[in-house]
Amino acid sequence: MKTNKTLWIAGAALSVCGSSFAASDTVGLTGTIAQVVTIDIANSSTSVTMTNNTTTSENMSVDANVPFTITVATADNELTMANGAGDEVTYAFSVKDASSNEILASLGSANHNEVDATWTYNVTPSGIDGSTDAGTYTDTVTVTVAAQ
Amino acid sequence: MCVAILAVLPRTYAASSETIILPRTYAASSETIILQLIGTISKSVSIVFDSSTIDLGDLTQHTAVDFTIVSNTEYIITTPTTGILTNEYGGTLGFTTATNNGKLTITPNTIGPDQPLGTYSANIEVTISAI
Repeated sequence: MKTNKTLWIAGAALSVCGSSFAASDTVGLTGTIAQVVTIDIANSSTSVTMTNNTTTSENMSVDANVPFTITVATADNELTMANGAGDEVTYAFSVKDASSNEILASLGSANHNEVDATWTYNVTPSGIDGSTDAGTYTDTVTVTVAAQ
Repeated sequence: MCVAILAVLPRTYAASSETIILPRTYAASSETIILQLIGTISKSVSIVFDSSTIDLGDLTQHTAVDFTIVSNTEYIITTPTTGILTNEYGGTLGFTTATNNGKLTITPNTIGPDQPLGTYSANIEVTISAI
């Protein structure tokens, strides 16, 4: 025997009057941008004009999305270019921004906020006179940028 | 009239999934560059006499004048070993030169009794050349 039953439910919550069912949820989006500190130069070798108080400048790109420290160092902790025969030429080294504001005046470290810019490093020899031996003078400078 | 019908519906699970936007991978948080600085100083030499004129007096004795050489390389100095002094009338008197320790010494030849009177003069060019 077949019996049909109809259940009548009164109430608003489940009462649907002529509309379809719907469900919703919320998705949360999260993402992480890693800290970035980079430095880049066009040429690793810089040809320095060996004239007193004449500055040779080269560009370097610095990108950082966090505060960072820039450090300039040399192997002997001196700013001298040597010719391999014991002769040396002293030079000044600085890092400046596009407005010629000094970021770093010499060897050592400086802190800086986030940046996306092209800076310059500048080499200025001094103390060259007629007795400064002719020849090729070199030095190696290490520039490091590191997130704080 | 509003009719509510209970239907057996599948349970709808909420879409509680999460979408993560992956960060772009950049370089490390520090970087180091090496700058190689290279400069060349060319060879240069110069010579300057302390005085532009040497007064040889009565031409009977040698006279020396100092000069200064500035050089950043090896060099050769070239000086005429002999020369001729000439007076305003064309009379001549020979001399010899020597260089030593930054000095140029001029020694007139012996003056004979027939040496014309007058004021004698000459120029000496001393050259240094980078090797």
